[in-house]
Amino acid sequence: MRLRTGCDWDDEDEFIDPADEAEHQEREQIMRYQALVASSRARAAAAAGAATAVARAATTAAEQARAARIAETVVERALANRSPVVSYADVIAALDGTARAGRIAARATRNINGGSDTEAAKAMIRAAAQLADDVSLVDFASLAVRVDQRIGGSVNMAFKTAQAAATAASTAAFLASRLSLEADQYDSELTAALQVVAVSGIVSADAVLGHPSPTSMTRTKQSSIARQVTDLIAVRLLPPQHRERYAEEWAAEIGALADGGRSRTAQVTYALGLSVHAVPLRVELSRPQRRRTPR
Amino acid sequence: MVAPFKMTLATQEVLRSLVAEPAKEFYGLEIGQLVGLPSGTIHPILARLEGAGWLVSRWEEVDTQTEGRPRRRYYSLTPDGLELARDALAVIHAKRSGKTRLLGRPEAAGGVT
Repeated sequence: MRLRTGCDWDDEDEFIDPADEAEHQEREQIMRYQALVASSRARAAAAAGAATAVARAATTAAEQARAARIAETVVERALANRSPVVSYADVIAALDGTARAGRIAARATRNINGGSDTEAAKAMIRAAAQLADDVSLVDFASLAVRVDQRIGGSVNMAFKTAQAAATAASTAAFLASRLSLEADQYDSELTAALQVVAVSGIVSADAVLGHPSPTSMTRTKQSSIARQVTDLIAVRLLPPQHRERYAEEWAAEIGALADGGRSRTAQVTYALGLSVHAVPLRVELSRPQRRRTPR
Repeated sequence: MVAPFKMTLATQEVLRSLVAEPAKEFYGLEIGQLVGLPSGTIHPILARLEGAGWLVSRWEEVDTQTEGRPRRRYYSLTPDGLELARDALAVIHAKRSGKTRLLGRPEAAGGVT
């Protein structure tokens, strides 16, 4: 028997086969599915987060509306219980006082013209005193009006705040409803993406999601993921003429593991080991001096 | 006789297992479990031995529909392979024994028959 040269796995240029376009296309397709699922997940999560934020804002708006209604009530009570000094009657009385002072002054003038100087002087002093009193009353009345205006402004502001809060609450409710619909839509997209993946037959949904789906958990003892790993990764790393043989050989071995009661995790681990060592196997199978045929 | 490939420890273990029961056929998973190698490491070794003509493989003769599982691929030593494997393992054993004697330690038990 002729002895052959030693084994070296350094010829890595044999590893990538540019002609194997189908393998690359399928890998890219899996990556696209995974990106689609990830995108749908992210958007659903964002919608859920936004809905939560809006619900929080709606709660705040409702609290503001309640606070505004309380403020309004307080202002109304303050108006009802305000001091008599700032009432409208006080203002009218002040105006009447001013008119009275004018009449007194006219009378005093007559007295000066027809009466004694002493009486005229006394009348003028009284009229001046009355005018002084009336002027103070008028000032006080204007102050009362300004106070009324401020109270009225506060009432208006309270009304406006309540109105804005109610509008905000309404907007928040609308937004929450819309975002809820969007979340439902994203869920639908996610489901559709998974269905596309399942229908494609290239990879199962659990392989895309990274966890076993309920159907695969109840199907058989044999792990579909392990089969997918060997079929999609390990076998495709081998030269095309050897793929069919090793696909069946490895499928039988994973089946034997399942028959032996090994867990799905053990089966997937075994499949991953096959994938990792598919590269040196490819090197061995690619040696030109091999004398055996694939089957 | 020098083996036509790199005789790694894993390769030696595989050959020892096969030489121990030369008439028996094993499938890949079985050999891996016998030797205690991690999954996947056994197939490059089997491919190397098969490529060198030391091993031969065949499909299990079962009806896959009846059995409900794929066929297994069974490996066994060829007559030449059995002889070459024994020789190679003996050489390795002798080398190890020589080194052991040089180091002043008792010769390791076992070896290839």
